[in-house]
Order: sequence, then structure tokens, then C-alpha cells
Amino acid sequence: MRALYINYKRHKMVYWMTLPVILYFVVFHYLPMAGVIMAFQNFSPKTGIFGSEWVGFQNFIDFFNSPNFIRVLKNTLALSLLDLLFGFPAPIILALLLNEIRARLFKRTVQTISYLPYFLSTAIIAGLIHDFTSSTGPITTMIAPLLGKTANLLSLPEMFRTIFVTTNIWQFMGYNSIIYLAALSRVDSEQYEAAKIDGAGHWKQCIHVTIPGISSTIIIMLILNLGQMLNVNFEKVLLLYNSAIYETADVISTYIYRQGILSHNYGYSTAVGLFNSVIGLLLIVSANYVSKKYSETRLF
Amino acid sequence: MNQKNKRMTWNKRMTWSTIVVGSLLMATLTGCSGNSSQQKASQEELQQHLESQEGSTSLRRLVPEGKTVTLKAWRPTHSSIGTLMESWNDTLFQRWMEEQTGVHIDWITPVSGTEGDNLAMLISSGEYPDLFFDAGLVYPTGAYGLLKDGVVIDVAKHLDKLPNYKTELERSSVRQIESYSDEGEMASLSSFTQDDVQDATWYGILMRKDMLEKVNMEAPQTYDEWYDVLTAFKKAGLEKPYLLNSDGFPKLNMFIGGLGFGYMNYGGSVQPFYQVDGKVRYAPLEEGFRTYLEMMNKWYSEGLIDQDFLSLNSINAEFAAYPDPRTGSMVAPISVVNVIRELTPDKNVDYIAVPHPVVNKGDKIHVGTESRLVRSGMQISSKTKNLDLALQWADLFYSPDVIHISNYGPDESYYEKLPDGTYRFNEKVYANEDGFAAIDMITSIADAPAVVVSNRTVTDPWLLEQAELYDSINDNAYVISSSLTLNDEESKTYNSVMTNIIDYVEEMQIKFIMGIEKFDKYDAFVERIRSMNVETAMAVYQKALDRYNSR
Repeated sequence: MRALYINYKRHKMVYWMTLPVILYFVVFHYLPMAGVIMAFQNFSPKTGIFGSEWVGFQNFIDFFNSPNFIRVLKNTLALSLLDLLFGFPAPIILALLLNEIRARLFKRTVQTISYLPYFLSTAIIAGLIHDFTSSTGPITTMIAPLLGKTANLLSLPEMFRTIFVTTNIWQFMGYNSIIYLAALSRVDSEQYEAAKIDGAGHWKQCIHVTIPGISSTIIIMLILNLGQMLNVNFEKVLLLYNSAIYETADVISTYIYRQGILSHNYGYSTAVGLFNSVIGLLLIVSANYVSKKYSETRLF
Repeated sequence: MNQKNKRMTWNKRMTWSTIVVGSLLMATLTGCSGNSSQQKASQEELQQHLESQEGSTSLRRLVPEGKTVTLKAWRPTHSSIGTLMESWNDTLFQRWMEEQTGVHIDWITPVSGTEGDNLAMLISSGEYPDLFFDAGLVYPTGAYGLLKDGVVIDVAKHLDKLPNYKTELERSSVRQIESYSDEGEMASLSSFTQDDVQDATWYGILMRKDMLEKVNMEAPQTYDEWYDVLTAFKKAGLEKPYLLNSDGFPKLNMFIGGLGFGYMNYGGSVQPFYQVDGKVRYAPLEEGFRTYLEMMNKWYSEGLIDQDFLSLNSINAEFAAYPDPRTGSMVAPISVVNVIRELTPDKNVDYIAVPHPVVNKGDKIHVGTESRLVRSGMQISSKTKNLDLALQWADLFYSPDVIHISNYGPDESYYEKLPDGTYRFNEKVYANEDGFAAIDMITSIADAPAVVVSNRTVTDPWLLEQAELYDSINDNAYVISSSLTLNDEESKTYNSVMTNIIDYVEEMQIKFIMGIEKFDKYDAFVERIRSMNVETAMAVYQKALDRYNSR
């Protein structure tokens, strides 16, 4: 306690500067948690949190018994896993490739272009995708020979996951590579020289020097990503999906949206949201545990 | 300079910059609240003023002279009105109303196509505006749902403060039957049709006149003839012979009435049910529903329906598709024809309204678009701090002076009095120089009245004639009134059952149309709806319908 006080005395300004951040988390992330009570209620905005009927786990039971439960869970996991499988390595590969480029002007240009989609709003991205995949859109026309038909790609359940994951890569690859590029710049150049003397080529250098050099960053990012896994890009799914492709496109968050906001089942959708968060927490804790066990790197 | 001194200057600078930034902020904030020429009335003087004229029926200032008060109102816009004006404050009527009453209205206008989401978000946030317009149309449980959820006040409890409204309400029995719920509540100030004369249908089925001539065919009357005409259109090179919207069902029960069922009636609140001889029915359980889906599936697979119809999911998207010269036919507001003639790049394109299709020539239909005599109108928030002001303001819409001006606008140069004592908009509206659609001109002049003169907006004889095409074969016998109300227990049962069913059916109907789901699974589809307890919801509705019928 006393140590803390001394520390406070010495770094007064620093402590005060953290205050807004702490307030932000308290106001926007901790206080709203009290709202999870709604998950155990038959909530009505008229009676509010204190007056609504208490129904225990009924909302959860309804969700688990609902025919949509398996589907939304499956879709959420499938989209997240595919996104992780293809979307997670993409920025690392891009960063490694950029790292090999010596022509600075070219490198800068590629970097800037690859960031651009990240700064477009999801609504615009979705609009672009809609146009490109409409029955006369350029992408549809391009892959029509492969499909054997021309149809609006967003009306084909089997195409949604591909569209979602590839456009995600396009949208986020450039921006996400920044952190890896920063990590790459910290790799000790003496190690490269040592490797060269030992006769390692570009490939070997990459495998034995570069990747181990940024492995801690990769693992931290992986843990963070796992925690976010069930929060698939909600706005994007919502803007892209339609009732013809609920089969593959309806995820937990869009289901919550339809049930809770549009149909006013607040209690029910809070329960579904809470379920989503609990799974997310389990994932991040177990990823951290595994990482702690097998390597030095961990988040907490 | 020593340490202390340094600190002093630092502190001083901080203080100064705080003052500067602070005063700048204040300036912006006060700037936002606008209307600096007039002073804001304080709560006490406003209350005093309002109390002094309680019970008054005439048009009057609601705010002390030289002062102003702002009310917030949620109200969706008319779909194409955006080109004419920026907000509802710009209509001639609303400007006049503000001058007369001293009440400034701050309109919250959701983006077209997102009204339902916008309202839901607003209500979830708990920050309600003082007034709602047309909110019942997009709220899942309708105007009465807003009352049940405690968002708006029960108007019936305040009738003594609404003398003009009370007079209008008590003018006829149909107004009272349709305005009160079974429990004697009133969710909104109803809007009436003057003298209870029904409006002509405004929604119709439109087909390309030039294309019919090109393929040398008559306007189709039966579903089979429709198929032949659309096929001929396709052969003649039209890309989208028939526009279907993203639900797979045209709005307002159009096009399906001939198959004997009603579905997704948007005439007030969304009701999935219809009735035959006082018995509630659910369309997906009926044979006609399957016939319709099979027909649409055939049309879709043969390219008679726009292959991208799923993207026609907002009013904006619909309005963009209407004037497209690749379109052959559609279900749309009849007056849209005037807009299309204006907008289409190909001047040969012209539309006519065609009869509602039926199975056999000469069949009558029992469900279609019905224009209602009594509609849910303004609603007042339960959280408003200016309840008396809102009540008096709303009541003025029912006073004789305002009824006339809200119908025809404050500017007399836009209309003329006919020998029979009625009024009619003149050429300044119908043939306006800027080429705006008449309906948009009328909205920008006169806005939406609470007591509407019937057929006020359709003095275009062509439109009236077309509308009669539908009204003559439709007796509306299957329609369930949108003022039927469920009690708390009933709506709980209804919601818990129907939310899931509607979600499921809306998904499946699209899949059947697109051929993603095959028709040999249709029986399983119906079975699944039954297993989701649709009968419970229907029983609840039946009770409410019985109560309504005995009103």
C-alpha cells in the first residue's frame, strides 16, 4: 500500500492520465454487465430490470431447445474457424513478403493499397460485395464457368462462407500486417548475418530467424483472436445475409439481433448473448493456458 | 525562473485555455439549440399559459408571445420526398403551424428502409421523443404494443384535454369501434377520413403498356394468362418481366388474393392471419399458399422474376427498380406511374394498371389492399416533460381551421374551391414547373392531415379509374381489422409462438421460391409449423377477433 502511495507521488500525472481509460471501462464495459440479469427475466421495458418477472434459466432452456440453436452455433463456429484458418496467417504472410522487398517506394505503395479497404465502412464494403456478386456482377461472371450457372452468389447457401472469408482477408490483411511489420523490424540483424555465414538461404533465414523472432507477437495475437472468435463481424453478416442463406449465414449475433431488437425478446436475446460471452471467455482462458504450458508467451 | 514560478505560469495557461475552450464549446451548444431570435419559454410560464387556455378549441398560440418551445417527434419520411425538402419543418404547413402555435418541432427522421430498426433502437435506449408519428406501422406489436410496453400514453385517459379530438371521435360509431381497444384504451390519436368516405385503393398491379402492344397481347386476367404474358415479355428481350420484392410476397396482400388467402397485411400492424367467416386462418397452412410458392418457383426458374429479387429489400431499392426499362410488371403504388414516366430514360416506356389476377375469369377476391377509415395516428410519449403542451398541440390538428389547412396547405394559390363546396389542388401542383410528383408536392405543401379529405391526393382521374379496377372485384371479407387488440397474457403467448414461426416461414418461403428447398418437403414444412404450436397463437387471435366482432 505504502509502495503504491510512493509510486503515486512520483508519477502523479501518469495515474491521472489512466483515469479516463478506467472510467471508460467502468461505464461502458462493467456497469452494463449488470444488464445480464435480463437473461434470467421475462424482461419488458415497461417494468424494467427491477419489476420484470424472474424466470430463472427458462430463456437458456428455450435457446438450447430451439431448432435454430445447432444451426447458429455451427455457423458461428464455422465462420470463425475458417476466418482464423485463412484470415489469421494472411497478414503474417503479407508482412513476411513485404519484409523481403528492398525497393522502398514499391513496398510503401503496396502497403498503403493493402490498408485501404480497412478504412472503408462495413456498409460500403457490403454494398461493393452485393454489386460484385449480383447475377450480372463481375465476380459472378468470372466464376460462372466454374459454377456451371449464373445466379446471385449471395443467394447460394454454399457460397456464403467463401465470400465472407475471402472478403474479410481482403479487408483486414493489410491493416493487421502492421503489427507484424513492427515486430519484424525488431528482429536482431546480427542473427541474419550469423545465419548467412552458416550458409542459410532466404527460406532458411525466414524459418529459423524471422519466424522465431516474431513468434511471441503471433501467439499474443492468436490468443486475442481466439477470445474474439465468437464475435464474427456482426455488421457484415447482417448486411450480406438474407433469408435464403440463413442455413450457412445466420450466426449467434444476427440471431440475437432478430430476436431481441426486432422482435423485442430482450430477455431471450440477453441469454443468448451471455452464452456467447461465456464461450468466448472459456476459449481465451484455455488458449492462454495452453500457450503458457508449451511456450513462454502468455497474455495473463 | 524558479520551479514555483514555472508552475504558476503553467497553471495560468491551463486556466486560460480551459476558459477559451469552454466558452467555444458553450457557443456551439447554444448555437445548436437554434432560433436565437426568440427566447425559450420557461417551464413555469409555459404551464401557466397552457392552463389558462385549457379546454379551448380554437387555433391559438400555445406558448407565450415572443417565446418558443421545442418538442421532439419521431416520424419516417415519405420515400421520395427527400428531393423536395430536407425535413418535415420545411413543409408549408409545418412552418405555418409553428408560426401559429409557437411550438417548434424537432423531427427525428430515420433513413428510409430502416424505420423499424431505428425505432427499436430508440426504444431500447429509453430516450423517447415527445411524439411519435406512424410508429405503430413499424413496431412489431403495432401501436398498441407501444402502449403495452409503456412507451406511449393511453389517450383515452386524457380525452377531456382533447376537446377537438373528442368531437371528431364521437362523430361516428366506426371511429369509436376502431379507435378503442377491448380494454377501453387508446394507443394513439386516430386519424380519420372526413365524413367516413373510403379512399380509393392506392396500391396496384402495373404492367408495361408498350410491351403488351409489342407482343400483341391483352392485359392478363388469370394467373395462367400472366404466365403467358410474362413468357412473351421474356422472349421479347425483357430481363425482369416481373418484379418481386425480397419477401417473395408483394405488399398489402396484392397478387395473392385470387388464390384465396391473405398474408402479411401491412395495413396498420403486421398480421400474419386472415379470417373466413369469423374464423382465423394462417396462410402457410392453406393450399393456396403452396400453389403460390410453386407458381413463383416456376416463374423464378424460368427467369420471369428478377434473379436478384432478394436485393429488393427496402423502399429505396424498390423505387430504384420501378423506372428500370428492363422491368415488365410490378406491384406498386399506382401513382408511381407518374414518377416512372418522369424518370425513365426510355420515353416509350409506359404502364397501365391491370386487374388483380384470379384463377378463373370473373372470380371475386376477398382480400387485397383496403384503405382504412380509421388509422392509428399521433402518439404521445409516456416520458414527455411537456404532456399538456403535446396534448394541446395534437388536439389542434382536429380543429376545423387546421383540418382545412392541413389538407390543402396555408397557401391559397395551390388550390381552388369547386362549385360544390369542395376543394381541389390546381395545376400549380399537378403540372408544377419542376416536374415533381404531385403527391410529393402535396406533402410539401399540406403535410399529412389528421382528418383526411378522402381521395384528396388522387384528383388525377386516371388514377381513380385504375383504383376502381381493384375495388370492384374485392369485398375485403377476409381482412382482419388492424385495431383488433390482444391483452397482455395473449400477446405474451402470441409472441413466444409466432416470432419463431414467422422467422422460419419467411426463410422457407424464399427457399421454396428459389428452388433451394424442394416441394416434396412441403408437407414436412407444414408439419413443422404445426409442431411449433401455431394453433395456440391462432386460438389467441380467435379470441381477440371474437371480442372485436362483438364490439
